[in-house]
Amino acid sequence: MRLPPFLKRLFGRTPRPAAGPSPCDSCPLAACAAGSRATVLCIVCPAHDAHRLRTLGLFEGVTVGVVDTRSGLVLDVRGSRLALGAAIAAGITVQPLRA
Amino acid sequence: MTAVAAIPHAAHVRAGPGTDSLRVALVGNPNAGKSTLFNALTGMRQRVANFPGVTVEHAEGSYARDSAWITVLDLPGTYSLAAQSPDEAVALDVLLGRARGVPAPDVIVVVVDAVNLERNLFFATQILELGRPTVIALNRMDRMVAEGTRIDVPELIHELRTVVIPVSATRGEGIERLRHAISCAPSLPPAPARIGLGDEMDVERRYAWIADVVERCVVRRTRSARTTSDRVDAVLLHRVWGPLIFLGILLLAFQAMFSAARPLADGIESLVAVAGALVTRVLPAGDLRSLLVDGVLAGVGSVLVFLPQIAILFLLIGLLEDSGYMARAAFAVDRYVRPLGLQGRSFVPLVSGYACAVPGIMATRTIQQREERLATIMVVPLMSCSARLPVYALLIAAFVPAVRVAGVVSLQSLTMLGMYLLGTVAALGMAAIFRRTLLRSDTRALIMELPRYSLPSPRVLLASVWQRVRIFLRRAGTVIFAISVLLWALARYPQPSTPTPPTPEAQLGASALGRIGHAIEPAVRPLGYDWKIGVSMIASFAAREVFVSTMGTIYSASAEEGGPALAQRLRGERDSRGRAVYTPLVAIGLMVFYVFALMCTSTIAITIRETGGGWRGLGWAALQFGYMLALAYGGALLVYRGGLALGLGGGG
Amino acid sequence: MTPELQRWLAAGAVAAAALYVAWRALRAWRAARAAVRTPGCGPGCGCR
Repeated sequence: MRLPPFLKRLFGRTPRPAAGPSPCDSCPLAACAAGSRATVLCIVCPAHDAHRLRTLGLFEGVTVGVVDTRSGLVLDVRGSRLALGAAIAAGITVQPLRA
Repeated sequence: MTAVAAIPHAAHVRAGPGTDSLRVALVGNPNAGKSTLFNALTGMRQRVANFPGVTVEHAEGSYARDSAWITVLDLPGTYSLAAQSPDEAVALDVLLGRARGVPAPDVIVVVVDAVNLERNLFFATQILELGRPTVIALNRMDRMVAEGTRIDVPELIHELRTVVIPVSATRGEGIERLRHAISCAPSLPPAPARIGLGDEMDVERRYAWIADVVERCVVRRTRSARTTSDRVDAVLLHRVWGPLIFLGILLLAFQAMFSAARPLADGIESLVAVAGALVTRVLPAGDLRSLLVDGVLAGVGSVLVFLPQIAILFLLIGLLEDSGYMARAAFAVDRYVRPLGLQGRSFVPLVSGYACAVPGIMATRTIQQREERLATIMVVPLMSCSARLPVYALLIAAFVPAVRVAGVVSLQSLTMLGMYLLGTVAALGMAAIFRRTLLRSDTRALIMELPRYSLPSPRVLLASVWQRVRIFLRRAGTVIFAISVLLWALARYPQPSTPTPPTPEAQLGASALGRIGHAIEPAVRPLGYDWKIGVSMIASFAAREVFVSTMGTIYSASAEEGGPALAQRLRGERDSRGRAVYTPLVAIGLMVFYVFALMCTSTIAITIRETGGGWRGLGWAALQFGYMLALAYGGALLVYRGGLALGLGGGG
Repeated sequence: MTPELQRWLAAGAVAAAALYVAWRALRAWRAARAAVRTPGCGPGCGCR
């Protein structure tokens, strides 16, 4: 899908990071770019939220895709789309994978 | 009471073709296509019912097969056996036979979304370990095929050690095989209770096992990271455009409610007129004829006219919910409602409140946090429900000119949107106040699944619209009918004892209704209303639509027979000094009153129950009723007095 | 149909309607009382 520039500015995503070795070993999930993939290292959040996330298939060691980062986060977890508020995304530490 | 709360609980067992009966429970993740499958299984033979003791709306349907009567329960969507929200807890209690008065189901059907196999199998394996007769319905197989993905069903059966039936609920494929499997399930040897996953709560091991199974059973041709759904979301989840598009969709919906419903409403109106003419021709003048024409037809008929608009409203809300858009709307508004102390999830009950506050309040069961849930319950009735629609529509049709703004949208639908927005803004504002005073707590983070967009199945949509239409018709045929008859009697007797036949207006003034009206007039006078509006308002505490039917009865009693439609009569109404009673200012003040006022016994009952029952629940309900009444009176007063002060009082 | 008969029929209909409304009011009252008596679900408690 090709968008004219003005639409691209309105609707477009932040550009992917350049391919190559990942720039860091760990960073907050919220800092990942849309379109990248990352492995969850650590989840810091209230117990009930952590339980919910685990039920939905998101826990340490799982690799997720980052779909959307514009407001909150939309993740690709095992093929389903999981929407997370910004607060929870900030508590998840991941290791970005090479794009 | 609305029918939701009024349906008797006891009728679980119905006489069927044979003596055998089988109870089947449909369970599965939210958005797995449960409701569509439920519809495919049971057809139109279904109803909305409540579990005894707990008010959770669930659909119950049935079908006949081989001289047995199969009853199917559609339980709320659940992600795991460790329930976190009240909604899930009820589903589990029914499943495990722990719910009072509901026998445990004979067969459990787990609906699994084939497109989302890993996550869905998580719950399915938990259910399998209960060791009950279980059938897995592998739904959305058509979509899998379209995406070029193949599932090795025999292998899956081997791994799960239970019956797996591939189906496509939207297309109706595989339904017959599923029915057969359901009938056979109780006589099969029980599956080994353990798949060998040890502790039920060992999430990681379970997911690892599932990933292994999926690896062996699913052959993916391509794994595209970015789906069509994602591309649509790129626009709909935009932080600015998302909410704006949502508003645009609402505006379109109201436009559709006015324009598409018009021909149908006109048809119903002329049918009522024909019926009136027929009665007038058959019966000579007298009490019975007056009862039928001025009481029943004027009262019930004036409410029935709004049936098409209500049907369209439910159709549109169903469309928003079933297409998967509602979850996006909740996510898109999350950041905006968070400062108010709500999370995006609260938004879904609020939007269902546009249809009816009762399911809206029950939908708050998906909110896990107590204070958030209570705050949402308290404000859901501020969302303009379908019962307010006749009131708005009558007043708007009578007093808002049908001109077009910017050549596109009509001023009438803009006014309607304005009323809905007013209610919504008030709901959000009140929620913020509650969350800062009585119901303080941290706001929970948003965690929710965004289902894939899908074209809603017309069957499911029509079934839900038909159910609501039936409820509306039943109300019109029972409560509204009876109240219309009573009001007719009150408006006609006692008759003044004058030698000459009194004018209709004088007779109405002398009647019991007229006297009651004049007694309460001082209370509504500050709002600019006359006694006729006052009486209609009092009567509408039984049900909001009664306002319209009462106005219909009163105005047909005060006019000669066979007068113009109600909206025209209202426009022509003059007070004793010849000024118009209904200026646009009065009409808007009246609408504002109806935006805010809580006049619905079912909502009160459901609030009592859902806020904890007992005196505590009663307290919450009383608070809700009180603050809404204060808002209503204050709002109407502000509009009328403020409007007068601004010099807007001129007769319209 | 004479006016007298019409009056009787109308009176019957009004009486029936009054009975019906009274019955519905009684049922609503009972439902409200039952709602007050049953300990409902504590919101968010996960039990019934």
